[in-house]
Amino acid sequence: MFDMFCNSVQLFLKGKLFHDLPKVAMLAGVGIGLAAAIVIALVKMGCSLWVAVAAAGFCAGALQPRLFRDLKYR
Amino acid sequence: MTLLNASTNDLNLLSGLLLLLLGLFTGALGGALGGIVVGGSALGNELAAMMGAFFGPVASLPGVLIGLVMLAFLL
Repeated sequence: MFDMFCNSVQLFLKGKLFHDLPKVAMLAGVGIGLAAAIVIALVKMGCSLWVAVAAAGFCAGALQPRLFRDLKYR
Repeated sequence: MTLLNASTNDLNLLSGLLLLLLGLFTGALGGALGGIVVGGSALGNELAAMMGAFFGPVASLPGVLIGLVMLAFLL
């Protein structure tokens, strides 16, 4: 499993993993922005930091496979 | 429940790193679940969960980092 991960990272750094890199970056940005927004909103609503971070991580993480679902690989 | 209370919010280098670690793990957990929901029937549950566990932290880790940095300026 670790080999597969290293292999994927190498392909990504050579720019040969994804077909459409700007789209990947945009979809990742959507998830990143959502996580940041959830952290800030929950803390401003009076939750403690670790509750906000756990909720944001879980929500953004659960959404990301849906966002990356129809990516094209090379 | 003092742990749930906002009064325990002190954001420094150590707690920030621990919170990033928490974000990494919850992101992987959520990603695995989301992967099973999205692709479990097409890829099989194990592969879908593993790919999801890679995808989840892609969003959660930088997102939590940005959120915490912005909060550090706001708080």
